[in-house]
Amino acid sequence: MSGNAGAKIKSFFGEFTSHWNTPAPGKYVPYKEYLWDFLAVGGDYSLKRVLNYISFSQWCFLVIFYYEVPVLTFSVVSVLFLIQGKFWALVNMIVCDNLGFLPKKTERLIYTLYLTFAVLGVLFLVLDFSAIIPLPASVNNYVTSLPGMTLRTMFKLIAAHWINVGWGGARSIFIRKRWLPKLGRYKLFAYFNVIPCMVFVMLICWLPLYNNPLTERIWQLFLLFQLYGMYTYTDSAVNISSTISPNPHERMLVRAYPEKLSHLLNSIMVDSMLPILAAALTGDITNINTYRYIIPIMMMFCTVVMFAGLGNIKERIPQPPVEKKKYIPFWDGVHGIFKNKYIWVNALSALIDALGNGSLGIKDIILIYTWRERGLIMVIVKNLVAMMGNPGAFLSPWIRKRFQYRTLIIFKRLVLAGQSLGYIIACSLFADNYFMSGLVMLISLCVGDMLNSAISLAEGDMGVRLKDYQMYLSGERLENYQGTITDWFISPFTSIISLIIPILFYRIGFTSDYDILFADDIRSKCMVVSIAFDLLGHLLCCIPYILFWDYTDEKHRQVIAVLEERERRANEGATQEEIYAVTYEDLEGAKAPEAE
Amino acid sequence: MARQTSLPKPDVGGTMSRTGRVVFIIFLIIVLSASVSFSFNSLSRKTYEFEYTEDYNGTGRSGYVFDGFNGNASITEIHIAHPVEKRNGEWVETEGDVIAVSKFTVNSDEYLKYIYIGPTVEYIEDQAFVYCRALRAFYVDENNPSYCSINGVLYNKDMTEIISYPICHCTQVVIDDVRADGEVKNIGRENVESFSAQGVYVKGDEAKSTLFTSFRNYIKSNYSGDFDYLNEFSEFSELMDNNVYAPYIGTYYLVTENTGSSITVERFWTCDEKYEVPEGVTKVANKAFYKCDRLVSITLPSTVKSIGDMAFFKCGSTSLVNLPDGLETIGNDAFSYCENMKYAMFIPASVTHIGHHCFYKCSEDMLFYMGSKDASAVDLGGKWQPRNDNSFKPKNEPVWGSLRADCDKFNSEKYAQDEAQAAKDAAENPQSQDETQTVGGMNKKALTALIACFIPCFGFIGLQIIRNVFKDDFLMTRRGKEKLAKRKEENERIHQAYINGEFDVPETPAQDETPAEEPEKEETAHSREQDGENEGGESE
Repeated sequence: MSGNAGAKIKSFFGEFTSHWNTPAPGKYVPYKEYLWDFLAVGGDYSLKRVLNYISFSQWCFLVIFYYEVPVLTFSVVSVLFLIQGKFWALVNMIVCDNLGFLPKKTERLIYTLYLTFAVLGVLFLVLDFSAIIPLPASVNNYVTSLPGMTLRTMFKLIAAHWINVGWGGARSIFIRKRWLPKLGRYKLFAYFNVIPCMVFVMLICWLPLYNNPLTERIWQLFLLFQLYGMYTYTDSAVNISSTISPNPHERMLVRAYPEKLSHLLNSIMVDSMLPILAAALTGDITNINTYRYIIPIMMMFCTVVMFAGLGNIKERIPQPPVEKKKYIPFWDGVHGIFKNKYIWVNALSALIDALGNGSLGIKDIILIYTWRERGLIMVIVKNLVAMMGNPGAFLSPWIRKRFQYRTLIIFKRLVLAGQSLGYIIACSLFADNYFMSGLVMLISLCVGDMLNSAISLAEGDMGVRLKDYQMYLSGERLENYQGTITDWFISPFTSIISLIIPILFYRIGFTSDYDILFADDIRSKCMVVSIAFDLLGHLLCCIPYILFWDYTDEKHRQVIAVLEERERRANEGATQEEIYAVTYEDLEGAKAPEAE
Repeated sequence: MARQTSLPKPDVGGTMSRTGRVVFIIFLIIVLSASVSFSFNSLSRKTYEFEYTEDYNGTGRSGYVFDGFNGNASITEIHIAHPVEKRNGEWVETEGDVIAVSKFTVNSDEYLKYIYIGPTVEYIEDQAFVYCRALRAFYVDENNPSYCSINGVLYNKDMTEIISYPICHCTQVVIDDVRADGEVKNIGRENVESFSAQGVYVKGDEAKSTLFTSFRNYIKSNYSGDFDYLNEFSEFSELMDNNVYAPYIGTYYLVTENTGSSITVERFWTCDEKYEVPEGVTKVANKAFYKCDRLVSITLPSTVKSIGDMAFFKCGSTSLVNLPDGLETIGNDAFSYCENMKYAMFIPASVTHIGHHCFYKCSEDMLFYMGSKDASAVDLGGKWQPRNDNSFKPKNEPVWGSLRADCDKFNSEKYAQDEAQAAKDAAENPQSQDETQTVGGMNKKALTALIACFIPCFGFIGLQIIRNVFKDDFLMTRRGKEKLAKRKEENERIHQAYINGEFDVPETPAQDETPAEEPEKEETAHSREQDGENEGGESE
């Protein structure tokens, strides 16, 4: 028995050592690359979590506690760029889907467009167009009625946006074209963005912008955050890791071992070390010194870990020129998306779900404002909450097999509604008892997370299945179209719905001073208002699935059967018409005589 | 319920009809424009919001309630007496009286400096004026039946409750603060205003001084309304001698250039560092001193019975507040985030309730001398004592049954120790404490740590970039460069073909192609190793 076990261990290590530098037969990744992957993904994931602390949003403690940007200003900024954003998304779709390699004429056109806007942006930034352009007083009055805005601020915000899209877009084409053949599609921006990104993080944290008036501070911060966003370099290693091998089994192995283990780095470095260091050295995670010293050091450390592995892992998917994918004209793509009703069911559900947008982060509410635990206890509680999802995650394949997606998603929404109800109970019944209030919220959070973790994985699985269905319908997966087209239609409504909660917060007295959330009554009111909308959103979200969702596992099986048949016909040299004419009925019809 | 339907027929190659495209574009334009317009309208806030009420909170009083103010840089003072509206670009008062101000009406404003409260305002709800960062003074009409202001601070009429203390309360100029080697300390945020003049200054005889006259006229023309406060320039010579002059409450001029025949001055302002709550006040309202981070010393009178929630929240400069005997309750978060509070505090035996997080984030060294005999005599809120975030309990246990004298003794000893330590440090290091510990306002040790981390990390990252990105440019062998060039050519060829619509371009059999396209095919380790090498040193 022991000899058998010993032999097994020996063979395991033998396999490990013999394929340390060269992959095993049928595989593509040597075991040494597993180690690099562990470092690269671990560093990348941790870096992403560190950089999550710096964003131009109401979730960033630096922006809200230090720079004191009003809550509604974020909404103003997002509405300001709503239409422009759609246009730039379209241009970006053309550039990214073609990996920067465009026909000469298109390339010239896009370069001209980008650079023109970059120049315009610089001009608007340098000159004060609010004084140059003779706009009527009514416009000025209207703009100043928006929180944190003046005409000058608005022009500067637009300038910052144009510089970002113009310079960033042109730079993106140039870098992709020049370096993509050598570095692959995911690695290149990490090398080119790392240093400017660090510079902008330092500028955001160190420049004394706080001393400037609000209307100046807003555009200056926006400019810095736009440039910082342009140079973000996260996700490179994560993306390479998910395409590290063409062999699905090997990809699964990489995901299960080095990738999963690398998350430990994040748990130790970011989720644990950062709050403890902040508590010990700067006193608080909301303290400016945390952002001036600890965040940059952590950022640098994670980058070093990531870069230690990044150079030694590689993507192993066929590159687009080799891929020779089917070209889909724009209107065909739009048509294809319109035909896929399940995308629209999901989009409709997401639209209703936007009712909860703008509500407060529940973990922050419990730990930062209710219990005020920001150091060691915060680390313990956060890790505990994170662990709650693990059993469900392990059970997810079993659960997914036994229940249809629709059942799972409705269950998930009901659980989330229950979770919200728990928060409301905590805030209304224990408004005067901060400890009980936090405890009930924490229990609701844990129970909800525990029940929903499996379903979240199932949702990811459904995303892939929907793309299969799209491929069945249109002959292509239309991945970029899916996001862009649905966003064009949904975002105008979401942006309106998302205003409800921040506007209500304003009425309650929660504007730009987040310290007000320390007051029990105000915090409870804010929570009840936002969670009530969240609860309503979760309940209403079920309706589209109940009424319209009929994409069963059986249907997906049929889709796959058709796709396989198409592949078979393609390999046999059939014409494009013959390939795409096949339907599931044809396959069934063909099977029936065979059975007879 | 959705019924099980069969799989729809695929529509590969299907496209949108011309009508469909037009409808698509028009719909999109309408939806986006409507969304932007609706969103902006929802977001735009009225500068002043008033609401008429017939019976205010069952008091039987009718009139306007001031319930919203969204200021901007152009509004530095407001008059709460009558509803206002904008006519021809000017704010004008209209008919009717304002009788009340709602909760959070003037909230988190950055520009307001003065608030005038008219004679008809009878009700100011709790926390009506919160966190106005530039607020210097409240002025209450002397005929107001419910409220009054003393030296710019808002009280109720009978002076039993202090309602709000302006964050930038200015009643005096602390000249000493601005003299130290010309360095300006404790100055408020305000656009610096410059004045330059040519002329002659005759010391001791201002009448003959043309520089003096120019300066005086400048002040008069700019601040005619506030001229009463000017102290007639009696200290103009001090301006010339010491580079500072303070003709206006809370305001001073600094001479930035003095050539003998011309001066350039710049205007700054400062706020009070000390405040003494007058005798007779029994209650400190909720958020009365909220975030008054310039106040170093606050003195409470012996008459105070209760301190409201967040009354002294984030008074970051305040080091000590003496709680008077007779005080009964201290609200939640009353002194939280007063990070400078590091000495001992005596909590009198009369205190029966201490709110939760009362001293949260004060210095963890803070010691509490409790007048009560034991904890059963006081209703202690959770986490009322400061503690480090990484520890589970406070550093110091409260000392029960102690006397005020014990606390005073401890404080005087600790203060003496601190002074001695400071003197010792100063003797050991002749440079000033600030200079040794800070570089341009940054903590020197932390900065050194930051730089020490950055240098090797940047070095490593730089090496990685050179190794992976620029290797072929100046670090690659000739053979490697040739192979990479070949690969690029091939890529370009396939890509051009792809752009031209030739989807089935045959690939040139090349040594440097990876085996990635045939995952099922078993390959020898050797062949792949060779491929890896042929990639022009991409990954290794």
